[in-house]
Amino acid sequence: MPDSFKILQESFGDQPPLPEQEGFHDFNALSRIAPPLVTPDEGEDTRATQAHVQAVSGVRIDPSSGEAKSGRIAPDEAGAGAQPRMADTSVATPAHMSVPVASAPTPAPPVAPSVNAPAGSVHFGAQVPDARQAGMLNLGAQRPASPDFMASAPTRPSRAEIPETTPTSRVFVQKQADDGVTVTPQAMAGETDEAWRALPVSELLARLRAAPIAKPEVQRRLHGIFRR
Amino acid sequence: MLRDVERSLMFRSIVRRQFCRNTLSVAGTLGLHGVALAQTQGLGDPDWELYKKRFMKPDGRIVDTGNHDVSHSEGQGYGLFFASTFNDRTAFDKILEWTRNNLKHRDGNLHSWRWSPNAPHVPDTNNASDGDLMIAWALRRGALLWRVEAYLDQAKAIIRDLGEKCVRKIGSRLVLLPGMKGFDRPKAAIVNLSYYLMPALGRAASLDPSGPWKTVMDHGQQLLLASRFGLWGLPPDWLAIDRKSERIYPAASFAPRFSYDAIRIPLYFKWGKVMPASLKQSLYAVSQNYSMTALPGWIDLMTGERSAYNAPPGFRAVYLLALNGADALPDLPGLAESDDYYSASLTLLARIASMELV
Repeated sequence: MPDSFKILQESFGDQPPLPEQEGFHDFNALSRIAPPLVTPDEGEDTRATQAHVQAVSGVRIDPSSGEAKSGRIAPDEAGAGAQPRMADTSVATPAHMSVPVASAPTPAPPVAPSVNAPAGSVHFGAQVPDARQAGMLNLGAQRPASPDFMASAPTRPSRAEIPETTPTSRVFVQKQADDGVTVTPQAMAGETDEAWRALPVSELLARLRAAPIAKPEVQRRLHGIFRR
Repeated sequence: MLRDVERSLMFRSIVRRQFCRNTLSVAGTLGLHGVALAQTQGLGDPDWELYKKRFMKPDGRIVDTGNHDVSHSEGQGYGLFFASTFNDRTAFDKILEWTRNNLKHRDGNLHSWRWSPNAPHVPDTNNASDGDLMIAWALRRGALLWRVEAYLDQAKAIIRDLGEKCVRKIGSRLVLLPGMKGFDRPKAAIVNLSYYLMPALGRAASLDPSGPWKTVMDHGQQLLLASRFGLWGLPPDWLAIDRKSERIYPAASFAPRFSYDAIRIPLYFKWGKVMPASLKQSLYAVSQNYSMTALPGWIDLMTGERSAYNAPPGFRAVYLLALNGADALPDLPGLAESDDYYSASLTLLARIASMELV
């Protein structure tokens, strides 16, 4: 059994996390297997393999098939008498969709950022996150990162491996009126507008991590018919 | 810089004018003349025409081409919404008729969530609250645009039934359940935040002023604020709320992913002007890391793993809308780029949302 799977099984299992464990206490453990960033070549390989599979088998790998619309799959633990939504898997699979995405021969590494994006796409600048820092992100209950994790964390690719995209004009962004909904994280307080966009991803993630989870300020007086 | 701003403002103005020509705004502002003008059918928006051609059957069924050609109440709702937006009453009536004949409950005003081309066509009569909300919203728009009182009555009836059957008190929160059966479990309730169509919920509050809708919206925002999981701090597709402790966590019976469901969360919350800054920042970080042209189809919130394939163009449309609001409009992907119904629907929804945010 691969180590990564063991970690997954142990930490997530069949049972939902206990309430006090909410917030992905186990994220630090799982981040050991967080995929490292890949170079553009690896990304190209993945795409090339997919193209090859399609060319050889004549099967179009449709990302929207199968797992894609998990929202259409109902919970199967409904109470007695309940009729949960049924899974779409009960429907005969058309031939053109007979290869599930999950069985695609290539693993699932992060796809490398495209260097030459087509016109019209928006780039916000070339940023590569510090994978180690990002992997430690824990937005809920905190657990100190173990030295073991630190040792096995994916390392940041050398600068030479990082694709340099040509800086393109940034889309003009106005301050959104809806962005301040009660919880601008404290870490962000004092910053104006969209200043966080200038931050490297790793720093942005670190700040998000540091931001406290907003406690719901639940209105206790509820609509009449819902009072118990 | 000033020139850029001027150009941006001018562009907004042009877009707004073009958009208003096709929508209910014109009926509202021009009175009778506006109604007459609005009743001019099918002004021929190219995206809507393409959408109809590819995903609408002659009888009014909207086909989910990426999902074995089934239909959903959600898709029928999208179709009705698009038809009302682009002032296409012929299509609206066809879609509505098919929806009534095939999905509407006989003993109520909600709709079965799914229709299969194979018999039995409706094996499960459970509803989907997002589909019902979308249908009600579209009916309200149709009622305002074409001055049809019956549409408004139907919209009110749907909202009333939704409030009675799908809104529950879980702990101290009022939540909108994804359906009337199967999601309210003894230990935890299952919620899908992408079913919180914020703009539609706002309209629900006006259709049913004595209903729970404003509270549902407030508590939905609070749920989203607390739903920050995994590497990027994103909400999962399916969320569990522990009844006792009121803690939330990704529902155990579903993959803990930010995926095809949750992608609609930024769409609907942005559209409703209630998107939290933290979600915007998370999406920005994802887009920075993978680039807009290689966005993940799903992100595992436990492992940080991403899909092996890139997301369809509809995801890009949602990211652009979430990050840039109305300014996203010129950069949105065209409908022709989307192969399947879902991506095309997201694209068109993002376009309409960005137009309405102008």
